[in-house]
Amino acid sequence: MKFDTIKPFLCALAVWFVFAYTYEAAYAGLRDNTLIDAGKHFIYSTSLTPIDPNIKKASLGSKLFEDVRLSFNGKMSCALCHIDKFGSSDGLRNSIGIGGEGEGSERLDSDGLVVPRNSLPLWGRGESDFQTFFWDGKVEKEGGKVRSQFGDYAPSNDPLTVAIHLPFVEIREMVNDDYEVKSSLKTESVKSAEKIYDRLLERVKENQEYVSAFDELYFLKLDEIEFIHIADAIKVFIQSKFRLQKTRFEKYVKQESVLSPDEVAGGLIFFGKGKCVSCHSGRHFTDFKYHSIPFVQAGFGKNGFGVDYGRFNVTHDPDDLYKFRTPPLTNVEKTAPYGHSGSALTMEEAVIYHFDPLRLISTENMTPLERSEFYKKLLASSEDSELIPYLDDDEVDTLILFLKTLSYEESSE
Amino acid sequence: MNKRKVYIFLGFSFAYLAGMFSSDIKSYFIKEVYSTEYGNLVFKCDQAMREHFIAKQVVAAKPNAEHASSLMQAEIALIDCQDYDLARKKLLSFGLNEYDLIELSLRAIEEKSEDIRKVVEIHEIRYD
Repeated sequence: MKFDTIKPFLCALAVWFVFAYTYEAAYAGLRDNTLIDAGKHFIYSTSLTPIDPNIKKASLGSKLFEDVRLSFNGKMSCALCHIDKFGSSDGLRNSIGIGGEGEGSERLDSDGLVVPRNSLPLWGRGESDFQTFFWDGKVEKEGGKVRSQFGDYAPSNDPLTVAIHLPFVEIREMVNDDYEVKSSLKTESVKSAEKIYDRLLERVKENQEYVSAFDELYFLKLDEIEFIHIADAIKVFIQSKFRLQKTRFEKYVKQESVLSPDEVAGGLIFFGKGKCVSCHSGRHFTDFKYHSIPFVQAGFGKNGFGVDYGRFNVTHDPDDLYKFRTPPLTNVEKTAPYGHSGSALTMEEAVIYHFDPLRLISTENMTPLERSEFYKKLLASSEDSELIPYLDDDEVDTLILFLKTLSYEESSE
Repeated sequence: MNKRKVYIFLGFSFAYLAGMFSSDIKSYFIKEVYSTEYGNLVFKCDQAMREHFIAKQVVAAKPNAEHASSLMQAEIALIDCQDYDLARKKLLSFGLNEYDLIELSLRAIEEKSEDIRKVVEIHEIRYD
């Protein structure tokens, strides 16, 4: 066959390819531009106030974070429930507190006491705009004042410093639930907490390395060291180690990197029909507000017998029943399980719980109390009924691909 | 009539019939291949438009930043209708006509409808 014969055909083919490529590129451009604009508007509209943590203080804080002597029985540390391989959480549904041994699932086989909430990761907690702590926001800064269990006796006006104080005096978490504690310390008063801080402080003061470090870094003599200095060093460590870093999505929004077409499609679901960004907004992917998602309760619950009233436990406002602070999504793929009691084992389950919880539970296997509690949670979640989307399974998978772009890349950890 | 003439006659007849119905045959296969994908897109666009309408109504009734944000999300969700439009154009370029596309849409609606009331709702004449 002569070339002249096939020339018109080849020309037509070339024109078609050019047209198809331009068309696809323009279409991809629409999607990319929409997602980049949404990212700028909903997530990166404010810039972070840079924090420059003192490296030496962070190093001291790191040692205190890992030191088991800072627990009532001398066997529990912060680091045992905030582990790198679980995205700074502990990989368990309900945490195992004092008395527990090992890491992750190993702790389930020990005699540790169950802490009836899912351990929260620490990413971004040291940033200046992070001011609401714990699932029920029991430490938060509002109107320039920190609100916490300490009432008017808060040890600091910095919410993170106050939040760091709490696990050390929380029964089951870092304090035994034995006769001594029940008879003399279980008084729900700040004075009891101070007794525990004093006991822990004495142990720190017995360690010459710590004493020298506080002298060098805080200019404190032995009798001047107080528990707040311990909390401050741990705060600097959290600011340093768990600072917000650039994710693939942030790089994409700043046009330093690209996402795959499926990741872009997932992002458009996150900002569009999934309505995820209604609550998961801002640099931490949380609005720091309280919402009810009908997760089934795993474990005994903060209020006992499988009940957890969430934010209500802090405010005693009936409108806050079953509500929890929107969890941040930084490194979300590494922080399973999900929900306040860790009842969603995978990201897929966590997403489905938002719009189709009945798919994940067998109501016939629940006790009447469990079903009753579940109905109440459903009713509480209906306040946000206009936010409940419908997603098919492919869309859920695509959304999860996008959520994975909110992780820090391995090299930057 | 000898054998050769029979073959020529049959050949011409087959070619004539194939020519007459080729368009229908092609349309049939294209519709079978794309009906599920197109049906999903019809549903998703319909869903996005309904959500967008509700979001607009909410903003009109209670204008505030939260509802304006919801409207923005509903607008982003309309990208599903862009996918639907592109699928329509693709199927038209493959040789389907508007009636074929209407048929595919109706099939999708019937798949999603659970009872006859839904079909009535879609087809009844309304004067509002």
